[in-house]
Amino acid sequence: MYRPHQIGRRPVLAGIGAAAMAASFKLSLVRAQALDRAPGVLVFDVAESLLDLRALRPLFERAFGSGAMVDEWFGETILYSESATLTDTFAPFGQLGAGVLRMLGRIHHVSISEADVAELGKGLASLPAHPDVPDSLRKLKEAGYRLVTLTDSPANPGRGALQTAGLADLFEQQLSAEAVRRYKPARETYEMVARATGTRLPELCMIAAHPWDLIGARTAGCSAALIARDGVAPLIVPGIEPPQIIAPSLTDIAAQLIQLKHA
Amino acid sequence: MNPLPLIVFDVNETLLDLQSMEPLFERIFAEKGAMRLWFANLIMYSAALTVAGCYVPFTDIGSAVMKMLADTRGIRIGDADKKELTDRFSTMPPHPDVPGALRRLRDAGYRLFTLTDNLLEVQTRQLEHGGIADLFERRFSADEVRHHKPSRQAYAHVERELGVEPSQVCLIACHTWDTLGAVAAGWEAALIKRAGNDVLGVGPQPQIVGDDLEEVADQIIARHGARS
Repeated sequence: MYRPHQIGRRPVLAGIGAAAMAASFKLSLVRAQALDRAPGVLVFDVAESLLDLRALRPLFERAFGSGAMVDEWFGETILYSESATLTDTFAPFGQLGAGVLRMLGRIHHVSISEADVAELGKGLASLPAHPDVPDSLRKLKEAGYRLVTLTDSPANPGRGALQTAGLADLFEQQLSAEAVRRYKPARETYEMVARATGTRLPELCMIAAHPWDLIGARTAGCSAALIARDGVAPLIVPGIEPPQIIAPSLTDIAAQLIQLKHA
Repeated sequence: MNPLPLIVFDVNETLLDLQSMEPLFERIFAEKGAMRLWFANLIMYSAALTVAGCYVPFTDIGSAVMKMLADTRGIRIGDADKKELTDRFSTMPPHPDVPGALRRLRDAGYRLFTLTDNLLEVQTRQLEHGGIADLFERRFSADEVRHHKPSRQAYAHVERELGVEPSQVCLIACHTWDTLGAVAAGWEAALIKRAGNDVLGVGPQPQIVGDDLEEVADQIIARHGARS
């Protein structure tokens, strides 16, 4: 029931406009290569990328006295999903998320009840979509793109958060990394998507608000688009291919992808 | 009598005090918690890159993460800032409980080693600056096998170099992801619950847990004995 991801972001910092951020990226991304043709399948990350994790803030505000703790929880959950992958000690994503919530409780001397854990699971299953998401997905679908999701959390077609948000029908498949018992950004997760969609890795374009997910996708040979909403910037390290598209909203990314379809 | 386990220490935050990095982050980000956010991202990206099969030296991840966080805030990072990051990271002081507890373990007959994601040159500078370098028989870096902790390869490197079985080694660290890696590799592990760290009730668990290195050293000596 939990959703994956991210840490490069923590909205501790309000007040920086997307335009200012985009401007500061351009300086460092002069060598980013543009996509020269339309990808075969668009692969979406879900938590934070399509759905707004900030809906969980009241829970963390109540438990820890800080709504921003949701970001720490999410970042640590990702770290421990990566650790489970590196040590071949797979545990279901929901267990990791609940375990991290309890660990943060011990660290901050706050008692976490079974009801808190249940509320987290429920909250994750009913996250609202970011405002730029529904229209963008519909336009991409209308332009003829195949859309799928790839999450670390279990895929719950028919009853998960995407269903609640009214977006589930837009995706031809909802895939979970749990199927290969390795979490993103492990190559096996992207390979599973290629298999499930009957395509090859270079045909996939991973779309996420998490630079670490896109590092995995690019390394596996997929293309990638970073949704650089407030608090998100790419990680630029030598030898790692940056995403081909970096834009402040899914609206901008969709516009670029649709243009490629018409090119 | 069983031989004493070889003790392998993590370095950053386990032996050395990360708080000494605070002034740099306060100056650049003017934000409380920026240093912790940076370190959490550094560890997360180090693990992510390793999962993705990419090797980037830890020092380079550290400055890239600082730049990424600065970009999200519209702050510019200069070469001088990156140099200060490396300099401060290389000169963090030991926690006050560390020198005494290390000597006590050594006096009890334990052989001490390190295993860190840091480059060897950074680690050497850290331990020499902290005045504890001579307490360790040998220093290991995950850089030597191009796989950061907690990947199996990092721990296997130590076993191979020392010619020992996993069951003969005990890791001491203040990070649960590190003790998880060690226990998954078949080592014994002790977690020091430094501020901001605690056990995760999921996955392989450390056999020993204490609030500082003195407590952990007590438990190790009680568990395995001493030779003098």
